[in-house]
Amino acid sequence: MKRYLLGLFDDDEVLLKAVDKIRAHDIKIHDVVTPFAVHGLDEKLGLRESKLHVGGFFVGLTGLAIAFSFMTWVFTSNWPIVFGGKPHFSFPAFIPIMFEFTVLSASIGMTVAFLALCHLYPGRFREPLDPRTTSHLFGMVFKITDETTQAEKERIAHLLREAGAVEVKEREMQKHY
Amino acid sequence: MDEKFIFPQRLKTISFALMAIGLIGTAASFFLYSDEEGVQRWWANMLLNAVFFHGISMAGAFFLAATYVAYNGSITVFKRVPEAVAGFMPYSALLLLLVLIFGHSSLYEWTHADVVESDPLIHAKVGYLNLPFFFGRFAFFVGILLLLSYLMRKNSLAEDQHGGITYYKKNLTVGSLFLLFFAIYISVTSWDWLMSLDPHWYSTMFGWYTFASFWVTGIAVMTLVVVYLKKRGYLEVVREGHLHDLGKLMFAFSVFWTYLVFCQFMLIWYANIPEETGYFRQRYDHYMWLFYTIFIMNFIAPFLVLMSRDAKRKMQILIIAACIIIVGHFIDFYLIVMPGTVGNKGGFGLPEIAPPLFFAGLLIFVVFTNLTKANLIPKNHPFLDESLHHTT
Repeated sequence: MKRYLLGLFDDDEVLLKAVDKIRAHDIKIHDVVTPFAVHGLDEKLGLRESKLHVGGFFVGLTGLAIAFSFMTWVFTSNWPIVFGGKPHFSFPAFIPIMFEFTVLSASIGMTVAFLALCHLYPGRFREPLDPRTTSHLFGMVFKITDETTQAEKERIAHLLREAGAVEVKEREMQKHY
Repeated sequence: MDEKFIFPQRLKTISFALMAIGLIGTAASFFLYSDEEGVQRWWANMLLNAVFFHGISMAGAFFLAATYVAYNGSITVFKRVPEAVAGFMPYSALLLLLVLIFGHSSLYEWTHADVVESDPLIHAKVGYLNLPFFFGRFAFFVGILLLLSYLMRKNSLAEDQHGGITYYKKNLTVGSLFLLFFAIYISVTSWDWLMSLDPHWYSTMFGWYTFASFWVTGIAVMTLVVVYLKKRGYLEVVREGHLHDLGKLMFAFSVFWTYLVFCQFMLIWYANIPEETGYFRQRYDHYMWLFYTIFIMNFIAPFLVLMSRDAKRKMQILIIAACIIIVGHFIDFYLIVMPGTVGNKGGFGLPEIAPPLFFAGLLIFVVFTNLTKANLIPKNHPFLDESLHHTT
């Protein structure tokens, strides 16, 4: 059983200001769930930058190398055919395929890496903390452990309401959120 | 948000020094290389620089027009910079016109009556390639674009005074017209000024190719100006998000340029038709180093330098990338102009070094003078508030 404290907001501007207020009180925000991407939220939450694109670069580079070496192998040693009087190793003709394969590898690689990082795979269902955060509410999530005292919870709830939360509630989840 | 730019004395001195050195060098090279080949080389360099810097100023006006039409609010805070760069247009157009008027017989083969008579290919093109029509096209397109960019600037300044949304709407119309004429202008003039240097050769991608070069160089120049202003303590409202946008544009259009260059090259290489391959044969055989250098400087270097998000947000890296792009595209134009005019004898000496200094000095002087003429941050622009809060 994992327990979370959830503050719900109905306006993204209010949410952005609330993040600043809560963080000013030295309270750790576990996550913020929003129905759409809110600009400037990442900076305010102080999230570190995703390393996904670095992975994408290297997967793309691998794809480039695979496409180049495969075509070189096919057209020079495995099955050399003369096309339009061009040499077997005709590099300019390889470039479009190298480019396409780089893009394909990078996009597939990044999609797979993204799903893996989010613990998502076909057939997995992630229960939302509150279904309304997928349509019109913005939720700020705090972790509650056994050490969290009642006074502390009340303090957070109070701060949330003060910052403009329309609803504050506790939620128990079967799995780690 | 009142912010007046004062032209720093040091920069003014630098720009005058560049102009003076460039002018003396250009004049000296005119007399030092006075044989027929030298004269041709001198005019080729003048054309190269006039076209290149004309393209930079056009890119400034195009940037404004495109962002007006796209309702783009992210660039509004530094809108005065593209305006100032576009303000270089009258000067660059005048210089280009002078070069074409006085240099056309040294530059363009098709202006000689005897060549036209003896060469059936050029003779067939005489309906398009003749001097009255050539200068007529120049006057029509450059004239209209000058007028439209003047109107954009005028409306923008009037907006500062009076406010309201009417000036934005006016500029929307002017910007749309600008884009319309620009699309035709860039094709037609790139055939006229650059492609007709090799009158036998033709490529339907040439207008795009020239446009990509102009555009990415223009963005690099504007980035340098914005970064300079920021380093001098102006434009504090321009934050990382705005720089990120400029970096993204430089990155994206470097790739776009490569795409066009490669498309043009590959189709010609594949089809292998002699009248088309002649263009690349000459460039590859005699300028092979430059041929590869432009790929490294205009594609691989900006691609790797500007790839990460952090790099696009750091002024130091933007300066490096912008300088590489500007020099790289200058070499690109060198590779277009030189083989078409002086053949295999394109060199590197005083005639190549001096004119860019003069043009760069003039560009710096005109752009920063224009910046002093209006408030650095536009007042009353409908997208100003959006722009101030822009994040990426």
